[in-house]
Amino acid sequence: RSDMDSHHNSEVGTFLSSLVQRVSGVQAALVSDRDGVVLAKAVHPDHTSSHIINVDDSLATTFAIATDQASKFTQGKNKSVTAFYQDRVLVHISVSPLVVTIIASAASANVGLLLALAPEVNTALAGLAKELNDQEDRVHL
Amino acid sequence: PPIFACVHSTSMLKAKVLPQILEQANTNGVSCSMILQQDGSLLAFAGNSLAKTVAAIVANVWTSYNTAVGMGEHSLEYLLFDNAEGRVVVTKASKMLLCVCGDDKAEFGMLKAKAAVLRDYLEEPLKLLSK
Repeated sequence: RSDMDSHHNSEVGTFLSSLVQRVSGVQAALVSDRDGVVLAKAVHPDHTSSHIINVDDSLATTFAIATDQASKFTQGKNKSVTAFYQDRVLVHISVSPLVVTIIASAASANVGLLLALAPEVNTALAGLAKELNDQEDRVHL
Repeated sequence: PPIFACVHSTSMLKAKVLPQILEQANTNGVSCSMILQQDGSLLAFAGNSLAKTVAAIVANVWTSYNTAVGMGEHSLEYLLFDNAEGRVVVTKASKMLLCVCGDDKAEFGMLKAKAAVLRDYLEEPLKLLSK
């Protein structure tokens, strides 16, 4: 991963920053692999307290397992999982093999908008996802 | 409607009334509704046979997200699953889980609203079951 195409990585970083700024209530957005290794992250300037920045790695693995299981509902493949907590909303979007995690304030987040942006998230991350999948294929050859 | 009066006026919950109540949510793209224990065992359901497959998985994922680090442990209120051909909404009702499944024409807002209404109606009767 250290020799990741920096072009894709910076595009993703820019995309995440714009997401955090233009959707109300979003506190942080990050892209990681299924093990929680962060590839890119954007945090809203108002939310630089440590509990936001240090998004636990386990969140990505929680989603990685959940999305695989949810794909067995006989409703086809799972695209995203949204969790509403008392104070926060957690949106996980699958762009295999990547996990996009969006954390927002329960009070001000427009979750409908976030979910409507999922296709845009998929498009923005398609390049990086393909890069990772191609690398996986090369490793296995 | 007589069904709701029946649930609230008796001190013993008539378990067979539960599927009838759940059935009332199964309109406008809702394919099935169910009540399950947090260990995944199905208490009641109405709709297609999706229920049994979904129940065990849902309970597992609920526990996983409910104990997720940094999100406010045990403060999970709703889970929404967006799948290629349908959507599932889960919420807690008393000590159990309520799950509403819809096809891809059922909007999340509607599923969430139905789950909330069912939960509000069933909160008291389900408390009797938990005792």
